[in-house]
Amino acid sequence: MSETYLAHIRVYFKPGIHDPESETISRALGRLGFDQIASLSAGKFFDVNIEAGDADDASKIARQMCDTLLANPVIETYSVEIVD
Amino acid sequence: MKFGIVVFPGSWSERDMHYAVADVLGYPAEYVWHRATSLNNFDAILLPGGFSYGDHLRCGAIAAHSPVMAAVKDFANNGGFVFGSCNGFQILCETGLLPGALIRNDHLEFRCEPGNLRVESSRTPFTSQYADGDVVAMPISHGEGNYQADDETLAMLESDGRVIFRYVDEDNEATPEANPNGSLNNIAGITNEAGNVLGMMPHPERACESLLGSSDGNPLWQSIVVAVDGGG
Repeated sequence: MSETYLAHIRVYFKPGIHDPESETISRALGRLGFDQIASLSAGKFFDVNIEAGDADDASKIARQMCDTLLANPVIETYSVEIVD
Repeated sequence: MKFGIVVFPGSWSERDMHYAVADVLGYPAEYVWHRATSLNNFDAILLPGGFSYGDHLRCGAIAAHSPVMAAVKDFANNGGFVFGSCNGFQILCETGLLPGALIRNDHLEFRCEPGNLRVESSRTPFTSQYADGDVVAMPISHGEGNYQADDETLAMLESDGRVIFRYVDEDNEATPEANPNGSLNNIAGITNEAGNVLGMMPHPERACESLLGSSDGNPLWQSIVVAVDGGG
């Protein structure tokens, strides 16, 4: 019987890809007095409820989603966490 | 000889392309809706600029999985000529027909302005009617035209002569100032390994008559016609 699992999927730029959005956000925080930022990386976050046999299955499906559409392997990497 | 111009929800340059190809140069051209699954009637496929499917997720990402793009992949893999400009270039990268990716401009601005490009190679089906080293005027109009690829891919593109258009200044120098978006090596357009697919960020269709400031885009369409039927 399948159950519903919540996948937290993060997609972010690979190290080494120059990301102007993250740099701009980091500079803006710096201007607001946050001079403690060692690094900042913006990305995308997806909450996906997945029907699957078990958590491993759900994780596998979430990774397939990333490989197929959610992430572009040329510039991005991703992480998947099944939270319940 | 017939051009097929693909139209996605959110395309915005398809009519300009049709005008440049059909009205200015007199070549047959038809629109192809994004749900089409066959391209058998066409000799060359054009992917226009715009914001296909709202450019949600990433520019070109949703379009890359549309029914027509499966047909475009088959068409290209069988040797058919495929050209994409702006969003069309982004879609070609997302499908994997071209290497690399286009990300947000380094200055984060949308830039719509005239610009100069150097034709790096006239030995392609898209540039035979130019001469090597020609400087041509074509406008850009994009917020995400910043070409990125890993070091290995970049070196391969350069050594194999697959960088076809490069942003240059009026003195034909590929300076940082002439680079409108942060693209690696001032890259404006590249081809696939076989040479039958070309993607570029600038808009040749917006440089189709002197009234618009430039007609330097026209030899690109003429080159495709020469490649298809020897110029007949």
